Amino acid sequence: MQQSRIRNFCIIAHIDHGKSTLADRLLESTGTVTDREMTEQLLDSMDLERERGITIKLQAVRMRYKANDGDEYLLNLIDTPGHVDFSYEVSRSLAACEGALLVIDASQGIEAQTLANLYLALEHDLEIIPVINKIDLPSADPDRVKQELEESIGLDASEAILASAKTGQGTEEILEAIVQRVPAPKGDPQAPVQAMIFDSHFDAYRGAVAYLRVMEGTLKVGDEIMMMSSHRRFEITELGVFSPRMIAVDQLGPGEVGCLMASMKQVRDCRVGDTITSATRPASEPLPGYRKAVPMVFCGLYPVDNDAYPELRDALERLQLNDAALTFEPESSAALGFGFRCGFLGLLHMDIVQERLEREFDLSLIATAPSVEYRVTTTDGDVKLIENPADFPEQNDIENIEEPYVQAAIMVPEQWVGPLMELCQGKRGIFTNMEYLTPERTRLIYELPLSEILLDFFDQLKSRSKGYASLDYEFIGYKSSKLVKLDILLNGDPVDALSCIVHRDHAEHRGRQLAVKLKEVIPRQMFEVPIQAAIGRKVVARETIRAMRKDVLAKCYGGDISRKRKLLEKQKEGKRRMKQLGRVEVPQEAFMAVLNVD
Amino acid sequence: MSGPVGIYVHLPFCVHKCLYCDFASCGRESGSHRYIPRYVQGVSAEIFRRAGEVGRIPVESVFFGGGTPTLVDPKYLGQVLGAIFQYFSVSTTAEVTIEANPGTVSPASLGQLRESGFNRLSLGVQSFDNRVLRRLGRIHTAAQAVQAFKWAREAGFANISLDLMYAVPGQSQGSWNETLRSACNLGPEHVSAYSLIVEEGTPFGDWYQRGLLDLPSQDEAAEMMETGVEILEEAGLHRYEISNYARQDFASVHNQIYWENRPYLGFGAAAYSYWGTERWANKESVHGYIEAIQAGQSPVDFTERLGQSGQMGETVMLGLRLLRGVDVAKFRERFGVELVSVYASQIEELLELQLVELTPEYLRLTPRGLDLANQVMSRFV
Repeated sequence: MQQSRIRNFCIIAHIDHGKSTLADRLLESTGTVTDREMTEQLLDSMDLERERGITIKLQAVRMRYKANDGDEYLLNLIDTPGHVDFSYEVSRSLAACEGALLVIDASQGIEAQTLANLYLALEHDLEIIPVINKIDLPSADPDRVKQELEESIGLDASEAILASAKTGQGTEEILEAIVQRVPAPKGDPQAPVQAMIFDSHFDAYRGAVAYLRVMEGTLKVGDEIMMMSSHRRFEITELGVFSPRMIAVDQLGPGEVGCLMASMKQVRDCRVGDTITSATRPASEPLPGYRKAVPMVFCGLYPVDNDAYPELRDALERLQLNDAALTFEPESSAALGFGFRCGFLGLLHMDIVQERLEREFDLSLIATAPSVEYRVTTTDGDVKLIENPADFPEQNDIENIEEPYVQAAIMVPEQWVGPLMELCQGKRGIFTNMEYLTPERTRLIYELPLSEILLDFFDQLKSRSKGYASLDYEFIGYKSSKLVKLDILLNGDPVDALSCIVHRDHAEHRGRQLAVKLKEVIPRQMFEVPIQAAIGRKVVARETIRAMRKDVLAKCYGGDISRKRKLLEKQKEGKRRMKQLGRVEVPQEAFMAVLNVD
Repeated sequence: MSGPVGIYVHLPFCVHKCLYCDFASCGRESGSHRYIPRYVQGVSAEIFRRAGEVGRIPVESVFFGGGTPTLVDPKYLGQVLGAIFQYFSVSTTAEVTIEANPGTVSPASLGQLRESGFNRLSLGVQSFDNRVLRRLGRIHTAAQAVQAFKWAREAGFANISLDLMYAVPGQSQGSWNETLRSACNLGPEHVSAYSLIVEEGTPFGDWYQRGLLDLPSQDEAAEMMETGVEILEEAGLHRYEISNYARQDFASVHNQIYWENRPYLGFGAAAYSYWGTERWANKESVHGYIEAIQAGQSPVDFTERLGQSGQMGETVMLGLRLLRGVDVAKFRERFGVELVSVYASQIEELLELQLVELTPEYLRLTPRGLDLANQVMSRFV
């Protein structure tokens, strides 16, 4: 296929605005999949994604489309994630495209995340094709969305395509727009190879598989290639494209999107974001434009059963293969034993990793409450980056603490602006700006400590706006804060895994709430268990879990024995899922209790 | 099989099902009561068939439970008991119990039962507070319970047990104390005092899940349990099992078979048997049971085989329910190993927690261990 007939594009959309359904329609309409093969929402392949309605992994699908001009075109759809945590992954897929469909729900309008991704796409000089979706719904208001497009983004709304991915309306028009408006990829097939890895996954038989976009030069099976960040060399064993299943090809030229296998056995062999070049005739520079993924949120992950530590390490290594942003380092806790301090892009990313570890690797885990990375200057002038509250120096040895701040953009209908400003103030937010985009839509900009967003910020945002507010945020730097470490003592013993860093003005209140919450989630034990919250040596709150008084099955006769035995087995199993801290059995939820206080 | 065994007969018919009940039973509205004559025939046939397999084994206890056995015509009950007497070697001193709902007996029916050979009556009184009885969905009143007891005495039942229930939604400590005193005033030989257990799949279970059940707290229930022990002991009814109290020599022979993990045969729908290393249960459906029997097929639809460790675990789980505890010598005799070495670590931990005590003869729960028996037993299963 001639390079001039290739179009690479992606879809930018908010969760639930219909991206996957639209992708399905495009695949159907180009005959890439037949109706029979059509499983709902083909692009979301993992169960987890399907359940959450979010696309986590990127995939690229090649479609052949015969356009109205009589020529056949190759359209490569590169899938993008739709959540703020994955803006790095979005940036990778955007860099592999020349154009983007901007899908907006005709009744909901533009959301904060869509806007953030759109700005990212504009930075990459992508041709934007606005699609107003779900116009078949009675609540659809395309005129209002058009007005938003013009007023808040400055796009020409007359070019917007009205569509319904559900009924198929507008699909043809979208395909034509891709052909006519998205530029063909540039690049010289004879130039030294530069190919960008935008995703990878691990295949049990083939090893690491790199998904890539060739920018310059041509990759051929049998070529020796080099990873530009590590200078490691491999021989290409297989090249493929997806349509939607993999089809082997001999070569991939400029503008083409596909996958590459080269007997890469290690996680580090094919880092997402890296540039692949030829080992014999390397490019002079790697491709620009990639942001390195920086973990922003950290938590400790520990196996409930200490013996499962090696399994947890293997599982994390396996996940890291698919997930360039996940980091982990061994750590140990007096309370929880050996585990890992893991770094994530954000809270959703953290949830997904935990869930995959439990679901796909059958691990029973305890996660400590998420924290951020603090910059602590000690009195002797040392500066340390500390992401685990347990590692904080003594209060007296601390000169200064800085914490990461984000700029948060909140899109919200006007009537909820008041409650949300109140929320941001309560979370130590610094007001930056407020824009009235349309009468229905206000954009609030605040600087907020990231640690406050990790608590219940998102839930509060949703509940105080009846679900209408949306949030996007980006890291802006460190700021000095008056922070203290809050310790929790169970039965008189400090539990390092329950320590947290809080603002001095909120510390006592937090301590009291945390003690109350822990009393709720820790079941009564065979003896009385005091819970104390302390700052340094000063106890700021105390609660007592009273001793268990009655736990006995009333009856057990002939017909009951099997069932009662099973009940007791279940009780024993429940105990096994608890963590033994000294003599106290603590359920997993307790370690997340800090998140559930306001 | 060495030593005498127990026989259980299940009669799954009730006027209507109580709100907390998850036993295999069916109310009148189910329409299954018309099968009673065929059901009784089926049970007799099953007894005959089983006797052909196991022989004329010695029996020390027969127990007719339900449901409400006394909903079945005493004539039929007599026939089934007659079959048991005929095909098994039931000792003349055997305990022969029938459960009765106070709302379903008369002087005449009790007389007939006594005459057929039943010598122990287990009356499902539950409470002497009519408000509590209504909450439970019982069909009788407190006055009927007192009346039934007197009739039973007149009919010649010298061994009567009363079932009582506490930790019932809306029940006060005062109401429970009154019930205990009323029970003691009647002078029964045996009392079972059960804490209400909310079971899934019952109306109580549904209400509980929807947050509609005003159950007493753990502490209130614990206090009711304590006053139960106090008042019953004072009246000369000694606690010999977690929920059971008896005058000297009136501990239930039948139930001790269960708690000592000894063999028993069950007949009728949903009845369980424990024999050798197997436990099995008959089909729960009355109709399904009758059809299987009439077709000459086995009515059994659940079987589990227990290995040595399973049997040992159950022996401890059940034996600890008795206040005297698990018999160390019998354990050694049966399994060829020492209880204290098989469960060395568990016993050591429990001794330290003061939940069990160990004598040369018995491993038993301490008073605290009785309150927290699940914590102890779950370590042995």
